[in-house]
Amino acid sequence: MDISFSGRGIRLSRAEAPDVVLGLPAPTKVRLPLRQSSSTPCVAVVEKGDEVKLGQLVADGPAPVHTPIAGRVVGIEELPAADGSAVPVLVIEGDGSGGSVRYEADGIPLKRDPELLLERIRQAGIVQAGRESLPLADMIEEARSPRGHLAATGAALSRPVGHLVVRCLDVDPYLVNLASVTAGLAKDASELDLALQVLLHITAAEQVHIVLGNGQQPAAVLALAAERDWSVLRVDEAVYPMAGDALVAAGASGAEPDVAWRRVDESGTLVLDIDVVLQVVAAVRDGRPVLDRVITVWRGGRVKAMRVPMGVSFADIAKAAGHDGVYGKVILGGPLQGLAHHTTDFPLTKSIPGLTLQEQKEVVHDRNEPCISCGLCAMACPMRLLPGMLSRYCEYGQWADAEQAHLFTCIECGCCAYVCPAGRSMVQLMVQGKNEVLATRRTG
Amino acid sequence: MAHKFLTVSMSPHIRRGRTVRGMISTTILALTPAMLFGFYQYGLEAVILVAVGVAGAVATEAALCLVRKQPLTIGDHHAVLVGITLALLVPSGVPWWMVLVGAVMAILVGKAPFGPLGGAPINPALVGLLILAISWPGEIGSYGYPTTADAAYAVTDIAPAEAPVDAVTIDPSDAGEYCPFMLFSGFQVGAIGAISPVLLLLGGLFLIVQRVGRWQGPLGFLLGLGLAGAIMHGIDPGAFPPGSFQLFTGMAFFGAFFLCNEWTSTPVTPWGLFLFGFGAGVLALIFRVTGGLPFGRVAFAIAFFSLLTPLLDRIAVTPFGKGVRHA
Repeated sequence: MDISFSGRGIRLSRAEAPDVVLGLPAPTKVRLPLRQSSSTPCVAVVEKGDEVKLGQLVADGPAPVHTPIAGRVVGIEELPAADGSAVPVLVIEGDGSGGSVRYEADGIPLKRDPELLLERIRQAGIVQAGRESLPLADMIEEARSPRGHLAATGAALSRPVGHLVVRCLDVDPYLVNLASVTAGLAKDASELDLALQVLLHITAAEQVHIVLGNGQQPAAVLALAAERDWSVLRVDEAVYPMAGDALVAAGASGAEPDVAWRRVDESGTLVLDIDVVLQVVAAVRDGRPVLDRVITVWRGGRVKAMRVPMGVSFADIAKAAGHDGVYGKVILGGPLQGLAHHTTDFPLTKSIPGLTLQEQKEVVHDRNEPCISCGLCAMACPMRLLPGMLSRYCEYGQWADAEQAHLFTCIECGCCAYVCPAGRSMVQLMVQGKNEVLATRRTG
Repeated sequence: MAHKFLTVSMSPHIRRGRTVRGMISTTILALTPAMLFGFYQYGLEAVILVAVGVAGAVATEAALCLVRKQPLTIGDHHAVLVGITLALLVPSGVPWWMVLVGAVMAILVGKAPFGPLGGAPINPALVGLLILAISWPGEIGSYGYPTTADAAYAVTDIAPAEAPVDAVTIDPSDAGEYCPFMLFSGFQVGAIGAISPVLLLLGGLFLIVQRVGRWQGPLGFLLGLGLAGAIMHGIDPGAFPPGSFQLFTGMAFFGAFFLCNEWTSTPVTPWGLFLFGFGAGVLALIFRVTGGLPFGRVAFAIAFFSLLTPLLDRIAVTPFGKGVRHA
């Protein structure tokens, strides 16, 4: 089965997934932001001067943080995050001891209480990278939670997840982390099997879907999918954003879900990245938390997949990838959806799927000329909106009109801005409009 | 190094690299074959008229920018396109000052009052042309004498008999006398740039392939004009020429590919654009069979439908996830 829809989206050649995932030498110092997901920030459970072991819990919250090195907490400083807000950061200096916590691998049988399994997933601090960057446990909770009007009664209803979708292809065509992780399963997909058994047990999903690009042929995964009766959805790798949440959810469930501010709403469909799915195994079987992740480092068309411990600064990651330190823009994620950070002196968090390093001459400057109504954006919009019209509503402060014209269906994929000949800051205008609409609602 | 901040902006961080200027230049390029054929057929007079049109439009826009103390906007080539479009839509026999008046009015009345590029409700070139057609209805029909006039000729747009050409004047009731292929190839009398449907088709397809223009408008226009023409011919073959005659003469192909495909004055939505073209095509035919207008019937029809653009833009496709829910 293919996911395709009326030729919308934009054609972009996809970065080739490299054969090897590069490692990084153990860092001597890590900085761990207490906010590593879009959920509420964590609270530090260690203090300055505390000795910590590798894998030890250092901050608790919806997606707890664990240290990837053994050593000593030398302080808590504040760093500006990509969104401009200050975020407290635990600084840990390694002592080279290699001392590691003993994980609570109490050999939980996979068929135990789903709530206990879910708690294990929460404790492991698994976060799906990207601009949403929600803790996996929260995503599962939300997908199986009662609809709003039932929740109001306070009844503890749990709704089964209809479709569990495993995405093996990066949404942003410059990213290769999911493709690399998937390629690693070509010969042995037993971990994926295990992870999905756990997730199926928790969610009681009716159907599992594996989303692969047309060119991806991980033999073991395909064999497993055939054996387990999972459906394989194919997407056109050359068209962005075909692997986006809303689109794969539509492909999986056969009905277009309602979209509210980049989130697929109440569709009973759970779209998970393959790296997050695999982290479930370590969390449940071994009690091992998330300490590192495979990320993409993109510069000048050269793409590397690297397994990087959390808390290593962008500058050090770039250096390890063989790049020098002069950049024009550092993008957390791919160039189409990633946020730009104003400095390379910020550490890797669980919400960052990769780094795109642009030179000064690659940096795009929006010209923001008036819209000429050429309609290129309408042809590119995967949500079948009229982005040009929406951008003008937002530009002129017509928030109610923008909302009426389905502003919140916009997933901020950036296709409209990519094609716009007038160089308009389309996504900027959309996001501003959404914030203004919400502000108006709050104040009545 | 530490104090040097990197650029921060909202995503996306890459662009296709297309510009408005580039799209306008591509449109001018697409018009070039038809323009060169017009030069070949009508000689130096045609070249002068196009030059006057471009100069008049560019000079007017530049002067307005200076007077209003605004940045010079002629760099986007839009004034050039307006000048070319206007000049290509008049016959080569009109006096040069008339084209100059048209070009000045196109910018002064058709474009400038509506703010920067993208504001004009009607294609400025059409505004200029219609002002000429209303002000000098007689002179605007001054068809020139084509170079290859010894070929079988038809006066286009079912031209008035006083057209100063020695070529064959088609009597609508005598439809057997013209050859659709000759008309399609451009061996006809008409406005400088509108006489060669085949070259306009090539240019139009180039625009569509380049994604500068879209196919819905041209297809709708040609369907509307052709179908309505065929129906009229079916009703009374003696009074009305066949649909192919309606399609291959006058400004039909120019209108379809270069006026129903302009950006600002046409709808954005696919169905809106198709209906725009279709409606304008039908209206052009109504003007042709009933109107007393000697000139610019296609132009009037398209200009009229441009005013309906905001209405037609309401015919949007249902957005993702907003269709009927099978909950």
